[in-house]
Amino acid sequence: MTDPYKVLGVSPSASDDEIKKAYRELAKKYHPDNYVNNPLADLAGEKMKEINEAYDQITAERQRGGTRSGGSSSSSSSSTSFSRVRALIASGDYTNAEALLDSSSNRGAEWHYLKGCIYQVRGYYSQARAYLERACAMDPSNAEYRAAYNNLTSSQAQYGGFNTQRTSGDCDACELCSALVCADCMCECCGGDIIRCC
Amino acid sequence: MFGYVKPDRDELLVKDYNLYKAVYCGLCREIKSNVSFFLSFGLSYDFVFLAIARDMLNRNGASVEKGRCPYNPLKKRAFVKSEGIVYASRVALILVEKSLEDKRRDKDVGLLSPFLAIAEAYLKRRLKKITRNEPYLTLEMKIEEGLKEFSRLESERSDVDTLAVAFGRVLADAVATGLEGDGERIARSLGTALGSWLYLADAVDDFEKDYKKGHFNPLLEQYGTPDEIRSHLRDIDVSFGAWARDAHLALSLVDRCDYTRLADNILALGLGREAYRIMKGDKND
Repeated sequence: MTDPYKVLGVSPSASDDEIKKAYRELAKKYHPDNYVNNPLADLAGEKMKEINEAYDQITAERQRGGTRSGGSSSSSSSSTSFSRVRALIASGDYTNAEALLDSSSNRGAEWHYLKGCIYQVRGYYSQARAYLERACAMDPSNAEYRAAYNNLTSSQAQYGGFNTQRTSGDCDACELCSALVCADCMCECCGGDIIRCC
Repeated sequence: MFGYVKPDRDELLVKDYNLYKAVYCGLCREIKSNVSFFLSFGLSYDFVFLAIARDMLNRNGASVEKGRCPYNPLKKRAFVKSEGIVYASRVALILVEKSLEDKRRDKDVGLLSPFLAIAEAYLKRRLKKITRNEPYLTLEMKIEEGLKEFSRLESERSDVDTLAVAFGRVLADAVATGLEGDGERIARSLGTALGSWLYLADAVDDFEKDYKKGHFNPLLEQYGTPDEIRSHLRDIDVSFGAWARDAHLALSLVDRCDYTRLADNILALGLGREAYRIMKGDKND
């Protein structure tokens, strides 16, 4: 097996906390939830296994009972009228899944959801977004549809152009505090006070 | 070709920025001395990233050397020499030659047409020399086929997703040809996601111009007017985000190396920054 420290990207002299941090970061990166509907999911699984083994090996070497949070993917599919389509999607046969879906006249929330999933796998993201949004609108209480929609749109927060950290970062906690202190100073100048203690 | 794929410089470590510059210089040198002098003026950031990605996929380390820059001989510069750079220089030639061909076919070049014809003939000659060897012969054929399919879809006025993914497939060939096994799968996934992202970026960047000139643009087909597109930018951004994530997830599966931090910066920060700039309609910085 390769050097476990190299796998985690840390030096052998790293502290336990550093190793834990590096492991957590990598585990977050390769977590199965990141690779939902992604054709490279199996490779991510192998990577995850590799870093788990490396982490276990290091903790064992350092004679500490390490606790680790393994990756568990949550997949729940209720029994529904589209179970055949779901089975086809699960087996990777998207063409037939789509054909079967298109032949159905029952175009409810689930139909839109499955259509959205198929588009998502193909990378047709603007259509996927539209279908998943429609599914959520038709059945707002369904957690599965909501999760799929959130999974697709969550990438926007990190990778999109309207990245929240970059564009709307004009009011973070720090600025809020300084604004309050400024306001307090001004009030004090006029004889008032909004923050008693300073 | 587009120059959209570049790092977010504000977030780079200085050593990673220097490494990026060294890859840039290495590619420019390689193109100038072994591909075509003229092409080195048209070097774009996208091909620098291609060189980095190929070296990551092939597990080549970055070997940095020092030498004088042909355009600024007074200064010694660091430059990288690697297989990825050689590969990227050849791909640059193929893609630039094909895009010239395409531009001339559009007949939208007016006065520039004779110049483009000369440039194209010149590049074609260079291309003949390059494609004597594999994998470049296969690559040229695949790219030509992919672009043909792409133009067919464009002439049918397909929707933006279909066109973006079709363009992504062309780029997947450009990234993955000559690789095998898991590396090939990762490269294909990276290329498809990045190509789709690039196509969308180009469509967003050009919709104003296309509207004025009455050219085809899939976003205008979908939304109608530039104002309508502008009010849907947040929806369009979902696609930007999803493709950038796919690209980053794919390249994350490659083993850690000298380029990892740089590549993470480009895919996780650089693409988002560039998408934002394009959507805001700012000029290139």
